[in-house]
Amino acid sequence: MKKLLALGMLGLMIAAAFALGTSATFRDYRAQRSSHIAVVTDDAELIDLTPVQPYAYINDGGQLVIDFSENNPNWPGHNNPEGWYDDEKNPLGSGLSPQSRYNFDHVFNVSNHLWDNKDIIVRVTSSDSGKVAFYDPGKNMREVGTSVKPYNSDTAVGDVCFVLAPGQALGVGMELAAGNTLGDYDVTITVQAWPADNAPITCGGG
Amino acid sequence: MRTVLKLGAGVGIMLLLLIGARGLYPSDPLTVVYAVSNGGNISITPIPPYSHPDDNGFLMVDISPESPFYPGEGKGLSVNSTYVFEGVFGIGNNQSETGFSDICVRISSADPSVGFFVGNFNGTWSESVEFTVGDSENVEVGARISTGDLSLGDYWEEFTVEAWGGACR
Repeated sequence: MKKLLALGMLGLMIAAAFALGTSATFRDYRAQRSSHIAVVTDDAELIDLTPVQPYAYINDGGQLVIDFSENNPNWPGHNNPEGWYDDEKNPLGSGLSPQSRYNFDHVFNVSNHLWDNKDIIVRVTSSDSGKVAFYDPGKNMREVGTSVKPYNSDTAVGDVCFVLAPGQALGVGMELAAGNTLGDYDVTITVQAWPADNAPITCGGG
Repeated sequence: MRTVLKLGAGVGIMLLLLIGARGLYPSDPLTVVYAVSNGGNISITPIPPYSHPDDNGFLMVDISPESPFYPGEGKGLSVNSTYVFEGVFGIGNNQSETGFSDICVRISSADPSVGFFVGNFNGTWSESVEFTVGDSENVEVGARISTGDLSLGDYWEEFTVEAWGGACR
């Protein structure tokens, strides 16, 4: 009888330790959880930027670069120097001339590969709209805050937006205006996107 | 006389056990152990598609082709980009399990590129957020991920979920 009691008490104490242990666990609850994030190239991400023209390419760091100079790896003179240099060994076709304007339709694509099947509003902004502006000949693009549709060289603007349904992509056309002097010019293009039903900007409106 | 003393001690322990058991787990103690190892005192619910339960049933935030919700396109986040995901996972308080009508939850990231916020994104986030969860309430936590100058590759990081009884102060 005494033995049975001792055994029962041992069981009780173990059970009590469990219960006390668990109650202490909640009072000081702590759990480690993990995240796994793949950092990928611009043309493989959720809202991906894909080069369409040879003027655009993905660099070693995975970022989209639009490059109208002989630094662009797609410049034909890299593989075939014959005919791509003049007599003074200057590269040919390696840029834009001063005070000229160039238009390129669909330089790069922006697409909606988010996993949640939502429409998104994409905003593309140029850091210098006098040098780089955007348009879409298909008239799917709007100037941010207005209902103006930039669709060609004359209507191109530096701050545009458009709506992308899941899986959809839009080619961004670029209007380039070279400066008055020779040299290299760097312009930064910023791409932002929000769910269409909860965006801080309005895009068009009909 | 000695036996009586022992009995008294046994009763004391039994009372503690009952309080503990009723407050936390109505069912038998074996389930208790399982629930604790599973982090089951508060409920942590993955909300698809950017999080899912891993092989052990633990919440995992996963933005890579290895996620079961990867649709075949959009493999991850690119270099130098910032993504904000609302409602990546939910934290719930069931008073019958926690024993508290309010619990305070803290979520902290070990990695400065991952920040958290509660509810809808209003422009603010933090590597460590604290919020109160009432009885039967489920609070959605979002993540703001900035790849900054990370180079291409896979990144596994950890974040900590802590909770205690009572509203946050």
